[in-house]
Amino acid sequence: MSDKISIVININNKNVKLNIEPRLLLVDLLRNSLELKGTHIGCDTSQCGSCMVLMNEKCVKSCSILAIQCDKKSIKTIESIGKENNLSNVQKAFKENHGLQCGFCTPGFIMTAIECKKNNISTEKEIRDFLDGNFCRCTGYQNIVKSISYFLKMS
Amino acid sequence: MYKFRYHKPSSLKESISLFKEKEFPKYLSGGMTLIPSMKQLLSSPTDLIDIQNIEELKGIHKTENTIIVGALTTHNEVANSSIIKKNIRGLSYLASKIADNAVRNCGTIGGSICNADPAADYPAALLSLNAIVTTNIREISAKDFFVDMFETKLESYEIVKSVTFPIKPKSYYLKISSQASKYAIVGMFGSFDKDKASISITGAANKVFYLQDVNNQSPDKLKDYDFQKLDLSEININSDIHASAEYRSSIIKNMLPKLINNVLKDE
Repeated sequence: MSDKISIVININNKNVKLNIEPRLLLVDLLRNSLELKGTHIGCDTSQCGSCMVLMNEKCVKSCSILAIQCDKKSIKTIESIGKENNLSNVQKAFKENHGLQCGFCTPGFIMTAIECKKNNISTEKEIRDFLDGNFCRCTGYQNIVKSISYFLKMS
Repeated sequence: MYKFRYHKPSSLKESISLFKEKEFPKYLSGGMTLIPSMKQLLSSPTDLIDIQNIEELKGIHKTENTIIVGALTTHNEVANSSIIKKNIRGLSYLASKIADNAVRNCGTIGGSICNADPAADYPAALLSLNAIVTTNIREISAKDFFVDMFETKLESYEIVKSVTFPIKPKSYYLKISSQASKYAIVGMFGSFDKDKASISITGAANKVFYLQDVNNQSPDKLKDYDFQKLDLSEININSDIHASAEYRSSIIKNMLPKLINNVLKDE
């Protein structure tokens, strides 16, 4: 039962041919098969948002979607957002505003912050509403909201 | 995750014949309820039939008096649609309050109503607006569609193609939701058909229901209506870890004036 199926997913701007079992979750494909460990598993029950990635430029929790559903789509993970010596604006914003403490949830927040900017969100209330679906257990969210406000004002 | 088979048909006909061949199949649209349920073995289909590529289930269209929303339309597409914002304000607002942004990017209106979660948001809009659910074989009115908790009028193989809503700019949705899941503890959708109110409530009972005592009243009457005297004894209001029946009843009575004000407010 459940033979492997061939699919192509554009992962971090590269077309990747895959031969996978239908039951493979996107997060397990990224972390275990492709060694993209920046996408974290926090809760595994669709609540915490640590596994957030962009699918066709929109946020999706990669623990709640099968890799096979992403055939012919684009997936962007935290690994495509910036480099250690060349941080992207959103990462700079989090760094400068102390938007992280342990950092476990941060990749998820970064993805949500990117979609925040695309959706023309501006006020603090809108940011807080938009962050529904991302949990942080250290910061109390204050500095995350500050970081995202700062990022939204960057050109 | 346990093993299952996966199919990705490109037409309705193919989807239905696949469904009829398999042992315990399920249709997959956004998967925002189904995949997490399968991970916990709350649901364990042998075959998933992924309908995401079926074009005729997509799109938002306006006719003279109605808005037709394709079954695969995501919650964020409904929330951000300028057609829906302009013509059924309450529906667009409701969709913007479902779960969180990531779920709204994938979850679909068809998937949500077929699952018929008693605390889901959409059923309140369908019932209040008297929407029509169109499937591959027939049309079902919203009041017949929702049968009971997680139970609809649909045959197992039947596929929802679209939902047709009458145009009602004066409509609104309010909810008190579980802070963890955003599912409604009490959600209420209000609209007016000419001069008659139509209010439906989700999250508070085994399925979405009409508020009979208030329905058919005119806006003027409702402005001065004493909602505290509302008799909810005929309705079997839920008690669970989120709220007692007494608390839910109190939310209903206290949220109604705000709902009516918002329905009548011009945007």
